Amino acid sequence: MPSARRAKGAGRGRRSRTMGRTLVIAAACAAVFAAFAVTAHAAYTYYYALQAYASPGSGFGDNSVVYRNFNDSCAYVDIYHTHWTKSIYADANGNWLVWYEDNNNCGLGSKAHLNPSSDYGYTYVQAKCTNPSAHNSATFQMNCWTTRP
Amino acid sequence: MRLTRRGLLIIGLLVCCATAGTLVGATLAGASGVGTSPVAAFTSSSAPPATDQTFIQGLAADEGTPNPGTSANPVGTPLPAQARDLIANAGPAHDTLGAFPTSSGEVCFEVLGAGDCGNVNGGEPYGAGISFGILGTRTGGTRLYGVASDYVAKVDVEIAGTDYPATLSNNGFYFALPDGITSDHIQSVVATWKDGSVHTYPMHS
Repeated sequence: MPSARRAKGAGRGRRSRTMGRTLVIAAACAAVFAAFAVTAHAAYTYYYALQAYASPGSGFGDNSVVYRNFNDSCAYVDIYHTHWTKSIYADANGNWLVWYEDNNNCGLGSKAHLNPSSDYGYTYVQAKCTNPSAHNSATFQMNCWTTRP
Repeated sequence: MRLTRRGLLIIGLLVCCATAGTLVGATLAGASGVGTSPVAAFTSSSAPPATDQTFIQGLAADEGTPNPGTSANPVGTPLPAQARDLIANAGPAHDTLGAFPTSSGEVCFEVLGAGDCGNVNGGEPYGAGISFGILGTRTGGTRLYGVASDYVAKVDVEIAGTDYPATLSNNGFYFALPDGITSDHIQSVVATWKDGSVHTYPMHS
C-alpha cells in the first residue's frame, strides 16, 4: 500500500539521518577526547630543572611563575659528600606552605623530596630549593615534574 | 659402620669448612649491603604493608630517577612493593610514617610523601644508624621523623640542651616539635644503641 511503503521509506531515511548524526557526534567527541588526552599527558610530564650554587641559608627557585607541581625535589649535586638540602612550596607572595629538609647521611647526596603540592592541599605553588647548612655552601639541583599553566 | 680416624678427620674438616664458608658468606653479604639493610620491620608482621601508595609511589618515582648528568642512581632501585607503615597516627597531625628499602640496602622514608632515602647501617657519616628528615606544614606543624637500624634502642632530639625522646617503633622514629620550635632550634639527634653506645648526629653542619 502506498501509504505503508511511504511510511517505510520515510522511516529508513530518518534512521539514516539519525545514524549519520550519531556518527558525527561520536567522531567529534573522540577528537575532543584525544586533544585533551594529548594535552594533559604533555603537561603532566613537563620537566623543569634548575641548578645553582647557594651559600648557607640562601636558595633559589622559580618565583615568577606559579606551577602546579608534581614530584619536586632539591638534590645536593656533589654525590660524594653529605649535605643538608631543603625543598619548599610557597604561595604567590613567597610565604612558605610546605617545607622538607634532610641530610640523608648517605655520603651519596641528599634529595629532599616533596610530593605534588595538591597532596598538601595546595594547587598552585612556587618551588624553591635552599641550603639549610649553617656553614657550608654547595651546589643544588631543583627538579620539578610539573604542569605549567 | 665403624669410622676410622681418617674418616673422622675428613668429616671434621668438611664441617669446619662449611661453617667457615657460611660465616664468610654472611659477612660479605652484610658488608656489601646489596638488597639488605638492618631494618627488621621490612620482614616483620608487626609493621603492616603501607596504606597510602600515592605517597610511597611518588617518593619512589623521584628517588629512582637519577639527576641529569649522572649515570647511576646512588640509592639503587627503590623497592616500593616492600613498603611498610612503621608508625601510624603519630603526633598532633596524626601522621603515618612509611618506608621501603632499595636494591642497594638504603632505606626510603616519608610522611605525606615528603622524604628521602638514606643509609642506616652504621657505616655512614656520623655512624649513628639513623636517617631522618624534617617536614613542616602550615596546618600540621613541624615534625622530625626517619628510620633507625636494628642496632638502635632509642632516639632523642636535643633542643636547647635538653633531650626529648622520639617515638621509636618498628624501626621508625617520630618527634613533633613544640609550637614555636623550628629545625633551627635542634642541636642534634642522638641515637643510643642497644650496646649502650651513644651516637650523635649534628644538625645543619
